Amino acid sequence: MDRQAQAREVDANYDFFQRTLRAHLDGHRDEYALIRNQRIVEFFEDVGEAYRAGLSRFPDMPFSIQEVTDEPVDLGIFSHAGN
Amino acid sequence: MPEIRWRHDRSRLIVRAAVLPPAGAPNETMLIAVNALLDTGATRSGLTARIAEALDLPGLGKKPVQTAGGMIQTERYAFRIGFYPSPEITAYPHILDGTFYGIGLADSESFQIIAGMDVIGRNHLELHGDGTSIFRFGSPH
Repeated sequence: MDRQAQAREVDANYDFFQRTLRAHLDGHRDEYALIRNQRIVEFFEDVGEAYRAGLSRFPDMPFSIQEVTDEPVDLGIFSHAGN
Repeated sequence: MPEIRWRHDRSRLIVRAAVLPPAGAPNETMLIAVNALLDTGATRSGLTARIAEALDLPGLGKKPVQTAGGMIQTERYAFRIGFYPSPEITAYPHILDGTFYGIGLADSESFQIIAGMDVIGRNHLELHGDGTSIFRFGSPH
C-alpha cells in the first residue's frame, strides 16, 4: 500500500474523528471505529476485527481505525512517545 | 497456565518478547524478537518506529499521548505480542490472544516495545523481594 496515501487518509480521518468524537462517546466508548474517506464505516469491540474488516472491505486502499475515547495515553515515568 | 520466570534487577522489568503483525495481515507469520519493558505505569503498549517499519506495519490511526513536555500526537499500530520463556530460549514464544493497538515510541537502546497495562492487566504478574519475577498468561479462574 502507498505509505503516503495511508498517512494522508489517517490524518484526514483523524481530523474528522476529533470533530465528531463527542457524538460517539455515549454509545461507543472504548470501541474502535473503522473509518474511510472521513466517514465511519462501522464500530467494533476488538481492534483486530476492525483491522480485518478494513482489509476485507477496502483491499489495497487506505483506511484508518480510531479508538473511541477522550482519554490520552499516559506512559508513566517513561515518556518515549515521539513518533 | 504458560508462564515466564526471571530475576529483576530492582530497577525495571525487561523480558524477551516477540512482535508480530495482526492476524489477517499479508505477512502475519513474520516475527521480530525484541526486548520488552513491562510498564505498569503505561496505560497502553507501544513499539518503536524502527520495529513498525521492519514489520511493515502501517500507521492506522493517531492518539494523544501525555508526556513531560505536554501533549503530542503519535501514530497507532496494530500488532500481536508473544513472550519467550527465558532469554536463552529463542524458539516458540507464547503468543497472547488478540491484537493490541499500540502507539509509536522513540527508539531506545534497552527495549523496543513497552508492554503496558493493556497487556499486563489481562495476565498475572508477580514480583518478589528476592528478585523472582513471574508473568503468567491467561486470567486465573
